[in-house]
Amino acid sequence: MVSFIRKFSVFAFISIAILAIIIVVPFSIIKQKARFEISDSANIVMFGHSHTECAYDDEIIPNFKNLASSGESYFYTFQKIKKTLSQNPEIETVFVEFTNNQIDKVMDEWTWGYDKMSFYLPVYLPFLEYQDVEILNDNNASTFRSTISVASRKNLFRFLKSDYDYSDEIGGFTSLNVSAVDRILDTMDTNIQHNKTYSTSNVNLHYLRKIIDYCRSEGKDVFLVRTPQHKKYKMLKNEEQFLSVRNSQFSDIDFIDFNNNNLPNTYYADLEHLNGKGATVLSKKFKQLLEGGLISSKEKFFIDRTFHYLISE
Amino acid sequence: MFLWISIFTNLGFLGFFKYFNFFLENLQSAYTFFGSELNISSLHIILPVGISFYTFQTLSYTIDIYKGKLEPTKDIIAFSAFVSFFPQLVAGPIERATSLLPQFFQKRQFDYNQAVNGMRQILWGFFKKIVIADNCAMFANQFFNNSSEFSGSSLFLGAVFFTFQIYCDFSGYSDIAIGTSRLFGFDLKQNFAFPYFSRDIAEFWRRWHISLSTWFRDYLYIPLGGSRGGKWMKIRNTFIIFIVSGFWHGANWTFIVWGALNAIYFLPLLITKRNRTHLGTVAENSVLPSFKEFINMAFTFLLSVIAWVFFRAKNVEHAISYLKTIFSNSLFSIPEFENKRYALEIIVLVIFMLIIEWLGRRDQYGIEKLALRCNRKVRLSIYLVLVCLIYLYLGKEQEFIYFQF
Repeated sequence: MVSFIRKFSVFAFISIAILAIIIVVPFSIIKQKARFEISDSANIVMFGHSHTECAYDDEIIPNFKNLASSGESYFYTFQKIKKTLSQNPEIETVFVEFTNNQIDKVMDEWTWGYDKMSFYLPVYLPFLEYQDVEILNDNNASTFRSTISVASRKNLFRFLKSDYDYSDEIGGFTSLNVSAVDRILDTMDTNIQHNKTYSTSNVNLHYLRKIIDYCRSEGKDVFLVRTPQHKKYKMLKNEEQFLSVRNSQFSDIDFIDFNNNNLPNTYYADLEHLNGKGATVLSKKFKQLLEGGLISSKEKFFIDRTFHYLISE
Repeated sequence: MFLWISIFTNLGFLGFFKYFNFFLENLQSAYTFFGSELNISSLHIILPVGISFYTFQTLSYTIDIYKGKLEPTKDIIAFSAFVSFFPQLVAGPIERATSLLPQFFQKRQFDYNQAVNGMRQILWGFFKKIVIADNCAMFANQFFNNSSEFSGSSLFLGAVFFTFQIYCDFSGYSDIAIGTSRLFGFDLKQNFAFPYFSRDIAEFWRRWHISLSTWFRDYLYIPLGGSRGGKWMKIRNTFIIFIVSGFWHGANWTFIVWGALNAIYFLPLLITKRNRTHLGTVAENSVLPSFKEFINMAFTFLLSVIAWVFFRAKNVEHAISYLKTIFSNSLFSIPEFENKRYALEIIVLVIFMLIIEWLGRRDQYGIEKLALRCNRKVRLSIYLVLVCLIYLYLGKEQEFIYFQF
């Protein structure tokens, strides 16, 4: 039995050593060589989730790059921002989506739920710091462990292919060519009683604060922005709480609110996303605002650091 | 009389926990069909894990004593250990008292070769479960849960993924259970003998879930008359054993149809007396199968893929609509689904698993003797590759399918 235990221990040790090499070597090389470079001409960038991804067309807005990605919580946006800003010194201004669903508890799941973690963690794991790892591990250890192996596999392949270019994976404008609002409203159950109390996602708000602080520490201008959503969108029900979070935790930052709008249903893909037509309207308006000095002469536009802009046809 | 008390008690527990609501729902449907109502509410019963397995194990004990094959034990600890032996408690293999019980009375000494063999089998079991079954499950779930959105070719691929999922999930568990038992000095029965290399359905059923098939053969099929008697008697017995086998898996019509379908597959072989044609291992003395053997294996595999659709579907209607889509013109389109690149990686791993199993098809499990034919360094490398693959392809944790039975 001693011989068995000895040989098994040696085998286990070799296995662990090989696994450690498989994990650590690709991660450390990727960490050094990862390229998050964007177009040289872009000095304004925007981050967020699908609302932003489908709304700002960077072919219409000059010197601008939309880097939003569907289903991305601030935890992963923070990692992306750190790499993007450090490798693109020409960036001067950062817009970050700040909308109703991003304060909601559902963002916890977007941070450490299996679906989102297995998608985003392989991309950003090599760049996480200890406290980031701790957050994922403390809140969903089993999923984190299994996702680590997904991340190890994907990064091993990346390493073997010497593919260190992240430009295709960090988001970008997506035009939706559907208009399903009328159909959704026809089938929507209007009798659903919505909960009056909403719980917030502390981790998401914590990382929004980290994003803002990081951008400021790098000398960048930061704005929060809310993209148009249809009035019937269920996640708008927490508006009171949303404004309370805005006023209590993020009152020190300028907020551009496009949510007050008169856009007809045909400008939406569904209740929360603009379609291509809506994106064109919004992008043109946004371009006008930028050219009108939104960034350079903020006092012209903002009242109490909030700027409401009505979008219509 | 004691025999019948034992049988009724065991089956009574099984019937209550597993089948009560099923019978009630069907009785209510029958009443509704005839225009009246039966107002009995169903029970919220938590099904004890592995009840089907240990019920059959205790039944075999009673019946074997009645038949005089075994002396009743007076050692309550040995009996309890036999019923609740942890490696195979929840999902088999279903052990016979004549084989397992005496092992509890033997003095066990550590056997190096047996322990290494056990560890090797555990490693192979983990590979099949974690790398193949859990990843195939991800795709099978995608297709079966949203079957109306996919083309025939995609659904066919989904059924193939499930075919490998269920095999690697269940045989992987059996490998882990048998390997763990070996570490403790116990020998359990081989439960799977590479069933997807079968040349006909009769051979498939001699190689799939062997401990259950032989249980039904010995305690149900033979007492019913087996293959003795006339043609109709054989047909009746075949249907009974397959339908009961399906019903054993769960209280759902899908399992019953799955069992009946396998009986239909089996009948032509039985009637033409070709059900015992393939008793040996395929390509016994050659590396590759002959063309005829290959075609037979592929055909048998396809039949099992179709049958597994009933096993996996939510209900019989779902299974039929799933199969209708498969057998439509869209069967010849290119499959469209999410995560194609990863699916391709999993298909490559399935082929790797099949090659290993093919090379080890004369043994108890895939890598039993395969690694031993190589020198020490190559052997170690094979094990390390398996460990790395297990780590790298560790996906979303999926419970063993047979835990629900």
